[in-house]
Amino acid sequence: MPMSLKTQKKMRSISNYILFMGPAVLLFVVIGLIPFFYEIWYSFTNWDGIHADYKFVGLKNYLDVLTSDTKYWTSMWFTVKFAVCVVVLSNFIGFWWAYGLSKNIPFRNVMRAGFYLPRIVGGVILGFLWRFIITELFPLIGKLTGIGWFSQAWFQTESSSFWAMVIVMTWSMAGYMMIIYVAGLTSISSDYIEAATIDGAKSGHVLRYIILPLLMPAFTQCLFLSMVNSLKVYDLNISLTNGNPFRLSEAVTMNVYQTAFSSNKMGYGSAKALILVLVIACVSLIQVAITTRKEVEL
Amino acid sequence: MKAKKRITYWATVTALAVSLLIVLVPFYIVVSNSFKPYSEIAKYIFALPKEFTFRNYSEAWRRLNFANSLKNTAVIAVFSNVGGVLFASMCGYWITRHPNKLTKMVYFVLIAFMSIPFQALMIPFAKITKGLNLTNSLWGLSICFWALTVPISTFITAGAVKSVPIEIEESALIDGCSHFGTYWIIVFPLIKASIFTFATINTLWFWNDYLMTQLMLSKKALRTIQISMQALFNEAFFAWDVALAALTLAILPLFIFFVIAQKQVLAGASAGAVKG
Repeated sequence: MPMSLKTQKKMRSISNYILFMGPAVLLFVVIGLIPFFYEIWYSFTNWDGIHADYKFVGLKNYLDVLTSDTKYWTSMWFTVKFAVCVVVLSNFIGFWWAYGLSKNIPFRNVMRAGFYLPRIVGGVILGFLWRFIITELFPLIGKLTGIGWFSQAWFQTESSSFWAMVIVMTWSMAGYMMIIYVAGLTSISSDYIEAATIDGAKSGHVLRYIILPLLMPAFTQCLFLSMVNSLKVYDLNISLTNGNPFRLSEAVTMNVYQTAFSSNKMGYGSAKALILVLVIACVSLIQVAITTRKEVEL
Repeated sequence: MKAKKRITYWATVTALAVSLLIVLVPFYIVVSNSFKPYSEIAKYIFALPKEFTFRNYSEAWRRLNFANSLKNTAVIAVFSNVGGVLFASMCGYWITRHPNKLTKMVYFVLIAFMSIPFQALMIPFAKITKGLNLTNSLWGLSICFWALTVPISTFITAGAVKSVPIEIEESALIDGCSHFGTYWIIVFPLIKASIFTFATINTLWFWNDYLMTQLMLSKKALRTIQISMQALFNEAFFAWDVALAALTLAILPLFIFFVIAQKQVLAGASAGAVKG
């Protein structure tokens, strides 16, 4: 029996869907989505990563993390403090760079590229590079300027490791934030600024009442990106401090990695990872909700 | 009033120049000291090398097995882009041009996934990729990168296609061109800039990735630059002179890439951040 025209058309449409979306969706589901759901499933089991048999243990892993894993909460607190400091510093610096560059500055394109340059140093290389700067250059700066803070025993106290990580992450992140603020600033029509200036507004007022409110979408993005990137920190952690001293500068991902791949507690590690994901989701949802509400409609 | 304005202007210029200098100092320190013999590094860290030496570089080149690491990293960076450019861009095109329940759902899942960190799938990922025989193979790693860049690449293409006038495609289809042909012959050349943008962001990720790469590649011959660096810094006979040369070698390829593709990198930095 020959196919009717309608079925033929439908067949062709289905084959187009498979051709255009099939490969991407298939890859994404098998390598992205399925592992994600598996991680949720594992977090309710006691799988050790080696044996094939494991048991469903309900909420036990989560309860164990919540009630008795002080090491995990130390690293969570470390990570959250770290993220807050990086978000504040990198956005403050990134915004001022962008704002300064929006004036008619000589070599502004070269400067913009220069500020962004640290961003291309990624992964463990970032931490290794700064290990040299901090252990060799900082004491020298301390000696030359007399500022004792620079001469402290780096990576031998918790606070020195903490600030080392904050400095390096800010160095890497501020230029990235700047680029987004620059894009935001150029999208603000100069008409508003001119109109306000003609009406007699000082540049401080223009910044406060015109530029900042119109820049809220960029703030939403920047706070979100810097927050999520800092909460996820891993490469910088292992390359710069490696948890020293005494695993006191260990961020959450490093703690999860140890649990899952060194102690072979895959189920327990999954629960720890998912708690981190929940924290990231909550923090970013709250932040986006707050800053989005402040965005003005034109 | 005018004088005051001029003062604020030059204060801004000075502040920017000084902060740029501070930002670039670490690069200067690492590169200049990498040409010094060890004894000189300890003494004058700020000075340019007095006794110019390439010994650190030849040693670092050998210890990193740099030729091989560079080749592995480059293979991964190039091949991993194939998936995004071929599959994800087609997917993004189709989603924009055929808005219905199915495509909208796929789009929503992809966007939602963008905010899920790798940590949320890391543990089963290690097992599943092993089961699929993707571990310890540069191609296998690239295929995983194809999968994990689907969301961002689809997202950027879907946005770009919106600005392509649909009339051109319609007339091509009426003239008997297939959807596949219409996309590759007519639409793709028009959205090339966006394709370049996401390819650039993704390339930086592929090149700098450590966490996922070291989960998948454990063979010594398959080490990427990142993995070789980690190995070098964990060696027992670690010394800064060779390490600084190694750092410079490791940063150099990306630096060249940045100088050449600066426009795309900077465009990508703000495009990747666009809210869904």
